[in-house]
Amino acid sequence: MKQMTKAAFLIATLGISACTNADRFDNVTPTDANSGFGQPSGVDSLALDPANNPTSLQYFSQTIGDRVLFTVDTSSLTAAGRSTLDGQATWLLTNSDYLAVVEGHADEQGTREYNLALGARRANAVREYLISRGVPSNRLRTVSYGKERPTEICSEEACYAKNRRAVTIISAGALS
Amino acid sequence: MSTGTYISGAGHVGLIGFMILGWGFSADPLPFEVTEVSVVTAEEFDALSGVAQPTVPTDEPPAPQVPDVEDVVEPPAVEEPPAAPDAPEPVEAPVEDTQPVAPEIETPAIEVTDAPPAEPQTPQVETVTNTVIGTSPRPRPRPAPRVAPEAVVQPEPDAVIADTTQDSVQDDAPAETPVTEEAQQATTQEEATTETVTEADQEAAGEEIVLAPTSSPRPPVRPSRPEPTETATAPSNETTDAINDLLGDLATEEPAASTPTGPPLSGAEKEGFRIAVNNCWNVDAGSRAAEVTVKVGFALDQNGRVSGDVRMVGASGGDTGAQRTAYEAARRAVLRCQSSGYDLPAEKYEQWKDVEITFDPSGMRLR
Amino acid sequence: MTRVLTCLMVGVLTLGVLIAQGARAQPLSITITDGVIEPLPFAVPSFQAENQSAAQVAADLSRVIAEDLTGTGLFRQILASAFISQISAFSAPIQFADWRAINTQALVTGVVSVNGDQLTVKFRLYDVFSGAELGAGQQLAGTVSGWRRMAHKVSDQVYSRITGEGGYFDSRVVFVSETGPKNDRRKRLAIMDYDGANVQFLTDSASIVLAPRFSPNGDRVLYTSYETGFPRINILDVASVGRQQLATADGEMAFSPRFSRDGRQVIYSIANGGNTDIYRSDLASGSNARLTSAPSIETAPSFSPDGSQIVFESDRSGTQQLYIMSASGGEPRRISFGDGRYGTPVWSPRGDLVAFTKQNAGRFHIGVMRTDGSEERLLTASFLDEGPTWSPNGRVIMFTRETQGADGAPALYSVDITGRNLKRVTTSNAASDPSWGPLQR
Repeated sequence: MKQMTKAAFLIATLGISACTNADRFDNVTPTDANSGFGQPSGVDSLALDPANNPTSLQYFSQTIGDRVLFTVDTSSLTAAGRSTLDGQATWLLTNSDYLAVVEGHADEQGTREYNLALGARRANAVREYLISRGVPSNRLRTVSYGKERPTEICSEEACYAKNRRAVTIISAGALS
Repeated sequence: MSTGTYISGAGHVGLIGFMILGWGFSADPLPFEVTEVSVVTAEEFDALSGVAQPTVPTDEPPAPQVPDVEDVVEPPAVEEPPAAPDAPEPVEAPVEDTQPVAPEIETPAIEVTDAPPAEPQTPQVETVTNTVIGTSPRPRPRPAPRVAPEAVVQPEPDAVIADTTQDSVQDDAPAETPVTEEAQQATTQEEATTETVTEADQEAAGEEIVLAPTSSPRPPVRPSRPEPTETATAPSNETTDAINDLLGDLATEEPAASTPTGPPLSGAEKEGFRIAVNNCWNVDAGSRAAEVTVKVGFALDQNGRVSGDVRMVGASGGDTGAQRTAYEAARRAVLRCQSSGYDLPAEKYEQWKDVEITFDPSGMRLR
Repeated sequence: MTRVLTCLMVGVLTLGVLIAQGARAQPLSITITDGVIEPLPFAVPSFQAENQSAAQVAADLSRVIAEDLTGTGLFRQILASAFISQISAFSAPIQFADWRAINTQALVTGVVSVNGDQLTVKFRLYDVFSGAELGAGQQLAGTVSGWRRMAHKVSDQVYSRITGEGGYFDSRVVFVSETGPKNDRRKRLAIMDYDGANVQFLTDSASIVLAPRFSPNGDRVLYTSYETGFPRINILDVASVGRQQLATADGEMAFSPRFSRDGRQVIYSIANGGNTDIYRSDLASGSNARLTSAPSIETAPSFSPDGSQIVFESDRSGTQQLYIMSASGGEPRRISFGDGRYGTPVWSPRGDLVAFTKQNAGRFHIGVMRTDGSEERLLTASFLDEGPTWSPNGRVIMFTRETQGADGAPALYSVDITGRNLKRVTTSNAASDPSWGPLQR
């Protein structure tokens, strides 16, 4: 009898401990994000798994993808790029209080001014596509960094391909 | 005989007589030296020169040193070494000017083969660790600090650099010439290439670029030169003076009544003159003066030295400042390269006593 | 009768030939098209010092003069160890034979005196070959701390008297000094003497700065700055290091500015909606005019010396090429037609050439071509060369060369317009985007 009771108690304890609500913190985040203008999301989000939160910035950059890539000397969107941008557009429409700046970049295989202009073309291509997906134009700005801000530093196509990009940066701020 | 015959005969006689006696032509005979040659026995000759039988002079250029084996350099247009004067046999050969016309250093076309070059004087070509990749269809000019019409291989380190190339004339060579010669030091021209080689040119030449040798075979030390000037000139002076005295007794002044101008200057003579001035004409390729074509005129005396000044006859292209600079460079070219006088044939003096040279740098601008 | 006539004719002809032969010969006429290109040997014996405190300055001055001239590639220094006779005093007569013997063609002598912080330099230039002075001796006065400028001024005199062209030694270069790894570069505006001395910083490295450009009289610098988060054009006053933003036409981005030759106008590019065009701004009135309106990229404009034309790069043909148009806008005409892409055109101060960057088959080149596009010549070749700028006399080009790979870094190089004398300009950090200023007064 005693062994059975111990076993039963053990099993019961374990069973009760499984009754935790894994989602007990989930309701906190949306309110914080919407009210915190330009401020970090506060202590609550630290315990959160951000990539799973479809309204978090990390979700935007990691799950949806904040960048699209381009082939050499072009500013046209690939199919993969378009689908990434579809996701971005959806996110922006859902989280309508955010602004976005699209940064255009180029690889180092070109002269400085032309690369600035090329980055501008790429950023603009992204912007126009997002607009065509319904994002209001006054929420989107563009900037070009030319070849000044590479993420990859080797001088090979593998690195160049990653540097030829347009990155959508989300910023929280009043509409201006 | 008919009247016609008389008139014809008289005319012919008159004409021929006119030609013989030279009425109306007032040219003095040109002074020129005539050296009568007579047979001298070997003993007499030795007594005169006071020197043991000299060795056969080799008129080849000094032993070709191993140039930097960096490139297949097209052997520069080498004039045939002047006919070596015969060994100092008793002088039956006519007097020959033994001063060599400046040959460039003869460079055997360099191939990395196992067979050493034929000349015994050439030091063994050490196997240098470099490779000539493929066959270069035409020799590629190598970058060098100096650009000249003919490529000059990099001279050995202790060569004396001068404007022209001279052989060292051994002072024990048979000094048969009546002209006093100073023993010349062997000189070479500075290393030169035929075109400016830019970095883009080197790259465009592609994979034919020869890798730089990792080791550079040092040419062996040259045999010591004959003592320069002072001591060398003295004995040769004595020698030539003695010979002159002997020959002078035998010489007869016989002004030849040859035509004052002689046959026209040959192409080779003109070319020699042109090349002589070439080497001192320093073109500043990037300047505005490189767009000016300037013509200068000057007079030469019988020795080939400039008499009077070099004057500007005309110029085209560029502004006055550029024309002035071009004229100065042309003037310097003419004056610097005359050294002891331009080498032009004395018997044709009338033809070259006035000279006009047009300097046209348009081909040099992009070189 | 005919026989008589024939004989007489023959006689006359023969006479004629004889007379012609005896007649005075025409001057011998020769054309020379081949010369040599070689550095001119010169000597600068150490300048005399009138007093003890001037000894060091005198030695330094002589050294900088020799470096200036040797650095052009047109001159070759004869070192003191080869001298036969020495210069005992500034006014002592020169033993030209001694200098000729060591193959010197130009000889510079001088004397220096220091009085407190006042520096006086006198110099003479001799043409050894003619055995006479070339031009008149000169005296320069200034402060001791400005001794380098004095040396450069002497070099400019020597250079221009011998070559017949202006010098470029007393000039400065504004550039971008770079530190840090490729993916986190810090850039600052800096200014230095043309030979790398006397570096001063004009901005901090808080934000990206790009492509500074000197004004024609060297008092101001235009550059692109990211301090607002977007590329904007600033004008900086060199003396006070004060700066302000240029009032450009409306647009998201403004970059690639250049002064006009009179310093009163600025041409630049604006990127708007992905399209980049060229605009012109009048500095006094602040008005802006648009000069191109094509859907392609038009950028990197540069004025001609007389201000009547502009050369720029455009990809309207599909790839970047060079175009020239009137300074008031209008139909551009293309001047580049070779293989590859052409960019960053800069009009030479002599007005005869345009320098540019060319990209072809994975390599970059700095090149020059005539303003009608002919006589294109490539001067350099490397992994990445770009951004040429002209020396004040239009004979030397300075540019940026960047090396390959993760450790790649840019440096400044200069090359003669003939492609000779390619060498690096020493800077303590990595450097890029040079702009060569004018000869200083």
